[in-house]
Amino acid sequence: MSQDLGTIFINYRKSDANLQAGYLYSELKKYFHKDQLFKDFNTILPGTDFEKSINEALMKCDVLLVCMGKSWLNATNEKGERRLDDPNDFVRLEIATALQRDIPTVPVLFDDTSFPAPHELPVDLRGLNRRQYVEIETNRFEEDTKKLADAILTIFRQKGIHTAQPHDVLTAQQAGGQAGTRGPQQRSTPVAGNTQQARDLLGSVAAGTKPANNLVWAILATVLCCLPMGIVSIIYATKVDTLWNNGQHDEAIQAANKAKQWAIYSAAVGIIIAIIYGVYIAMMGNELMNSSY
Amino acid sequence: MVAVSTGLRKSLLCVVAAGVAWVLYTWQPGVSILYPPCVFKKLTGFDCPGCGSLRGLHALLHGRLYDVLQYNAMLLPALVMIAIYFSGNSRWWQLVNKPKWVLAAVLAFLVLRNLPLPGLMWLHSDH
Repeated sequence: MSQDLGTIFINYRKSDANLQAGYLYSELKKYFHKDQLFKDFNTILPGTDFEKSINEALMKCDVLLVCMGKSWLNATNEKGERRLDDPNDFVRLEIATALQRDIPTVPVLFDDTSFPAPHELPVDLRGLNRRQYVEIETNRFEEDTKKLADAILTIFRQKGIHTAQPHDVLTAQQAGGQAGTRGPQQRSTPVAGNTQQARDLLGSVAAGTKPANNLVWAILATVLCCLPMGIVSIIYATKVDTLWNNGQHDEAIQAANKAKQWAIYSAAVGIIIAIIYGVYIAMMGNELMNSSY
Repeated sequence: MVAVSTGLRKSLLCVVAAGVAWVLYTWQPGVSILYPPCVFKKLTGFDCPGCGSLRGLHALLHGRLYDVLQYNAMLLPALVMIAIYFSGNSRWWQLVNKPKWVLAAVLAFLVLRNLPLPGLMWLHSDH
């Protein structure tokens, strides 16, 4: 599945932005499936060739996020030398490899960290200066991460990647002239039963936002129409948020769909009952008129 | 549901809502034969969470807020929630959009309003 979806690699220095990188990872899970996110992706075993190992890891990378805190630039090793000046520093090697292979790279600056000047960076990292960076403040972490997620989605779209499994042909149509999702054939199991619903859902998924849980329709169905069906609808609405925050985006969309469907069934039952009642009243009315003679 | 544009859908909804409001204002539920009875109540004898909502809406349209509460205690909160949803104000919607609480409230209401306890009689739809 992760071959079809875009992949995001998080590069950071443990001594610099360990907490922030961790928090970023869990916030990003609200917008992307956890199979799309890679933190600590580099387990370089002793004796292996660093460059080869990093190269292989980055083969699957669609976007590299470079996390920078205040001590990123001038972090030193035990000997007091700047880590960035060591050509074998992993963080440096990862970024350099990504830049070299033209992988979209987004510097993420935490809490007023300023972007380093070109002369402060080693030569193979100077390409970072040409990249658009995103700032994330601790007390606005959620809103700022959302902006980052939007930026990542834009990059994906430009690469012709869609963030969800294509549910029906609409995805290809929406992509227009761009290449569709990579990977093997598309699954043809439609989630929504009709075009407009599918478009609404794909719209919200493509934008990376949580689908509406349809709670209001569930409530109206319960109170105005058919109690048991309305309650089923509310139960599905309850599941949508939990599933989405858990990274189970497909299931969340299906739950939102189900909530809406049951609300519709409930309304249908209510209308049928109203019609039957109307007919009954009409017949009663007739009898009353006839029997009065 | 149907493939019509969103603008048209919204206008249709408003027209239907206005029509329903007019009917509710003019004819009294529970007295006029215009309104179908609650199937749940007819079958089981118990109040469903929606029982009294039509009479409540009629009372609301005539400004009798106390009566609204007496017919269906959850009607006013539900209307507030629905109004917030359609108003598009996402901050307020974030505050009230708690599906689990809604489910709990609906189920609790269903049980409590059918218990024959003197302190709970005000929750019954006919008292």
